[in-house]
Amino acid sequence: MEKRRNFLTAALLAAAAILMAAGVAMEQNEQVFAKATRVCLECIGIG
Amino acid sequence: MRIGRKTLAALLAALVLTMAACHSENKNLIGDGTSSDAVSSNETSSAEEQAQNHGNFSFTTTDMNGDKVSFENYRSAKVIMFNMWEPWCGPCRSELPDLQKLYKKYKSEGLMIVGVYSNTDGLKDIVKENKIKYPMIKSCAAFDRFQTGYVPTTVFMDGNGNVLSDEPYVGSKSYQEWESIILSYMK
Amino acid sequence: MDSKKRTFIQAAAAFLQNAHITGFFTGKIYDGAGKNICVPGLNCYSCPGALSACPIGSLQNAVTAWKFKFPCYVLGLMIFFGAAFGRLICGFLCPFGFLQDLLFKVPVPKKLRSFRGDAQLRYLKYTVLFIMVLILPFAHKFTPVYCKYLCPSGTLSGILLSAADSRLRSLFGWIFTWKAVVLTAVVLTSMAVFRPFCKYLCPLGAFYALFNRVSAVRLKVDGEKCVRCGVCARVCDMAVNPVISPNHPECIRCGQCVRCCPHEAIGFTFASKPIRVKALAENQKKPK
Repeated sequence: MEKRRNFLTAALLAAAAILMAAGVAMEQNEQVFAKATRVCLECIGIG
Repeated sequence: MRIGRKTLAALLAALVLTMAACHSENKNLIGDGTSSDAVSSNETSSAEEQAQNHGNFSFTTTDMNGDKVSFENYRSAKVIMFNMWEPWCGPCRSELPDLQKLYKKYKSEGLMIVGVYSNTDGLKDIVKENKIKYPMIKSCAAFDRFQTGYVPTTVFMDGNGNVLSDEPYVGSKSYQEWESIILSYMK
Repeated sequence: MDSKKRTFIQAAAAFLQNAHITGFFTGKIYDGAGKNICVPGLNCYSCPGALSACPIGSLQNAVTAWKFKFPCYVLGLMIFFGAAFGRLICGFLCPFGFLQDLLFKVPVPKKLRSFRGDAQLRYLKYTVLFIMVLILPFAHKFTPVYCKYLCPSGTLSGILLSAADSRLRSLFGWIFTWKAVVLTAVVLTSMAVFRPFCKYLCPLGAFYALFNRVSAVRLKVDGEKCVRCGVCARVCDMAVNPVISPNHPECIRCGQCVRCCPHEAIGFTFASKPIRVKALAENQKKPK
């Protein structure tokens, strides 16, 4: 039972790593960067 | 108070991180010609800033279609409105039609509007959808000094590169608001 | 885990995630490489001190983009955090959770341990996650609905930003007023109710809650040592019964039950292996 759960944990972590790698390959981290370094005032409820 | 080794290590890490963060911040304070309540750590370059605000503005970059552009392209204009925006930013996008209308109306009187972007996601579609006729150029280091950290940010310049606006305009505005601002510089 | 140690870790985490000190004076947010990644907790990118991006904010931005692309990167990060830690993040690393913990320490005439409807209201945060973070931003482009209309962590950041940059104050409209009301309500309620935002509204907590039962770091109850005295359930501020469900989605892994169990029957595990926590044996506390 625990073994199955740990396997699921490992699978999720592996999936996460693959998704992150795919995201970086698609330059999605640049999108995160672009939006996190310019404050769109209306997007945070100001103005 | 006894400070354990782990605590000391954590404090040291925090100190190093803070210093690293502050170091990169200083790069952005250079040439910041805006007046604000900010603590400026570059008092020595204020003379340089003055010089930069008066006729020394130049840049070379590409426009949306990949053609090379520089400040020379706009020297003939009386008033140049650099609208720094991002295609992902809702309010930036919503003021585009108004800017296009103002451009069409005051173009003949010497108004030039230049859209400055850095992210291209959805850029071409938005420009096409709003039938924008004024140039859209990719941001470069020359514009960093006007970046407030907010989008949209707008600055006004004359054809000689003198900065007309005391402070960059932060946030999107209505057609009427922009019109009165533009007219105040056109005089 | 010693509660003072946990408070220290929470404070350190809150500080480290917002270590861009100069931002609080210049009003300019950090734009260095740190903003390529997301922090595990709810920490708005618009906070002048923030070194990285918010996972919920980044997720909305990906979903509300002009041309939708599956958000591999942000989702990968969030799944990583969830699968590794589950709601341990809520208990140790989230600055906004830490704020609520501190507020709960404020002495008020009545602390509300529970009320009718509490269990049902816990599901509201899943609605916030699906409707305000995913569906509405997807349907209405360029609008991060949760960030724009609700997030109190973002409101706090906006206040800090406008404290440093006075130009912003003239831009406050009805949305900001509404969000300030939400923030005030959360702050005041946090003094009487333990972590109301985490329980009822936080979309990130809702996401991580889904991973609690399968995260690498978990809780385990030793059936042989447990005598069913009920102390753990009594001391749990999230109203979880660790014996019945040690990795309940509402458990924020604060370690209170671990600390208070008179028989050391509950412990943290990493991939099912017990993690030794120093000073645990010496820190047995009598239940309140």
